[in-house]
Amino acid sequence: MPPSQSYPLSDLLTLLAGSLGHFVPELVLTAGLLLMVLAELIWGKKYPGSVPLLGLIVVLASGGILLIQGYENPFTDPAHPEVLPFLNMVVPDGFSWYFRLLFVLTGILTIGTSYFSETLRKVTGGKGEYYLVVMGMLLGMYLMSMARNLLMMYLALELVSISSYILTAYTRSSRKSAEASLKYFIYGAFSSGFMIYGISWLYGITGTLDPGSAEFTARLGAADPAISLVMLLFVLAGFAYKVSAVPFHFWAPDVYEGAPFPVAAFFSVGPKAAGFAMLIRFVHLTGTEGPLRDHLVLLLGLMAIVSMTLGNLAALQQQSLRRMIAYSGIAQAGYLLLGVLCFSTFGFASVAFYLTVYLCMTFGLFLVAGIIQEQTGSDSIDSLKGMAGAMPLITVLSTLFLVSLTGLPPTGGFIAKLYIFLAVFENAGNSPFLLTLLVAAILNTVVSLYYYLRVPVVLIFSKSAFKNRLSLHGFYQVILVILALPVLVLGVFGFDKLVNFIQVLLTTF
Amino acid sequence: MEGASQISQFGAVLLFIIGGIIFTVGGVILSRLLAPNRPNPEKLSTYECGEDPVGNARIQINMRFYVAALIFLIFDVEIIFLFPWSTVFADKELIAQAPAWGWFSLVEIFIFTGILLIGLAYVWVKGDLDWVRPNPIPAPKVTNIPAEVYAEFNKTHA
Repeated sequence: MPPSQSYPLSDLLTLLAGSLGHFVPELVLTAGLLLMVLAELIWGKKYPGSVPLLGLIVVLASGGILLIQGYENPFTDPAHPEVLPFLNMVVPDGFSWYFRLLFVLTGILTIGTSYFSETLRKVTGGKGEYYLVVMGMLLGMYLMSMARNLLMMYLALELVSISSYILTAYTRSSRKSAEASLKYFIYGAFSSGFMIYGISWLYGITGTLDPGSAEFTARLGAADPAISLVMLLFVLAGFAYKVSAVPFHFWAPDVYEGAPFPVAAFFSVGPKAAGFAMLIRFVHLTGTEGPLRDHLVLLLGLMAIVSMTLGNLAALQQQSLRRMIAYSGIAQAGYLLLGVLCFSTFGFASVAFYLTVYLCMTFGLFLVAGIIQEQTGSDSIDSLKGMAGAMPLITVLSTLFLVSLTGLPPTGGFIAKLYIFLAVFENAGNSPFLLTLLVAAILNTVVSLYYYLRVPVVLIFSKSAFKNRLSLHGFYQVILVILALPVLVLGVFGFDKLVNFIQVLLTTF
Repeated sequence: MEGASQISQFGAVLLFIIGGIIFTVGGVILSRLLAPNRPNPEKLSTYECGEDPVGNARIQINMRFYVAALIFLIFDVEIIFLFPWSTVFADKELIAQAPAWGWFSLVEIFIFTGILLIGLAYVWVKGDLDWVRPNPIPAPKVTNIPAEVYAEFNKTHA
């Protein structure tokens, strides 16, 4: 029986009212979104900057409230300490707190770069609608990191997905954008159909949609292992799509190439982090003690190894910088899945740490790709030949991002990979499967060295007639430097403190 | 209400079916009896949402049909949510259980409707509710009769 029926009405109302207190950052986002709609209607024509400015304020406010609220997880009502907000629908715990702060950062970066992007301004015609969709997506990502009920997970995922289809299709006149958006939509509909089918099976077997409840674990344990394997396969399809892991990765290269570049940068980090947050919660709830653990290790392991290998091999052949980043993102999803299937606090913490660094380096790299495309009109790696003299700052920073993505010291990417591999090694014990995964991951890192470092080699060591300096907007300079700082700093010191901090956050998980 | 309570759940469905038949058949018969009967080919053609019912179905349909349909759908769903709400929000039994219930549900439904109203305001201001008026191109002149004569004729014979 769902818990909502076991409380008297007066208690239910107290519980719901109490839940709102833990939902303030999300409420601020929602109210801000509605205000932005009104602002667009009233001032949209006169002051086109008002909507993005309001969006920025709202995101900052929501982030500020998160910081003030802290990550302690008091339950809704002292009389019912067993009920999480909205009757176990969401968990505003330390884990989601950390991820929501990451989303705040992503949101600020996205709104900022969107406002200053010339190409996007041409596309949107200075209309505020675009920012409304970004905010909707941000809200969905918040909810994804907090969702605990399977239905809530699905709804949050759909909110993010539907917003992303709209954002991808924003360049209506562009063929590539239309193609990317259609592919994105078809794959999205496909995989979320799989997911909801799997959820319906889980519900049919366990009689509850709350994977954290006792009956869920007990009844799943009694189910036929073959059935639970198929069910998990279906549910994982939705997750694989969001984190762009094989076999639901086909949309990524097209979307990253076709969408306007601030959007593509947003997609490459935001939904991916949200997908991993939700995956970790799902895996943690269903697999840590439950009977599903072996299945999950098998499925996630296979997904990880195929994603890494396929992503890296495909990235080797790419001529377009953005497509290369897309395939590298697929490969990175493979590494991240390794951290998830460890089922340990350290493994989950290393994934969160990896995603933090990943956010900075991939967003930075996308920014670089976008800036170069805006200035030279080309996205191919060959067009970068000998551009080092024309854009020294971009050359230095993109080299840093790429070295970090490869996983070489002294960058945050190195530490992040190291932590993931350590977590796998710790849990491998005498499991040949996990050891194989580890070896495959390390070999894959070596493969990725070639295509990551090809870009700086082309930039620096090729001859070019291009002598003029490219102009770089001051805002982009600041953002790029801000993004580069954590990549560099976390590679040298402070990383152990951050990982310990995330592990502390995970204790309330 | 003695008799009504005798009707089972399926009896209610049967009543709906009977009522539906009476209304449709009655409507047709009444209009036969009351309405003047002056058929022309336009009137006799099958009704298909204002489109020509004969010919290729793969014609371009004005995009605005979809916008109107979507907006209709939103408010249709809103009504569906409002009906069950209206049956419980002032329920004395529930209010006796929790005095805050009435206010709680009232505020909730206002937020829900308010969000939809903002959506309506949005499509309204953005001009999605304005139907594009056809801008007919006048046929090329084939006679020597001046246009004013036509205008005069239309005025007197309108």
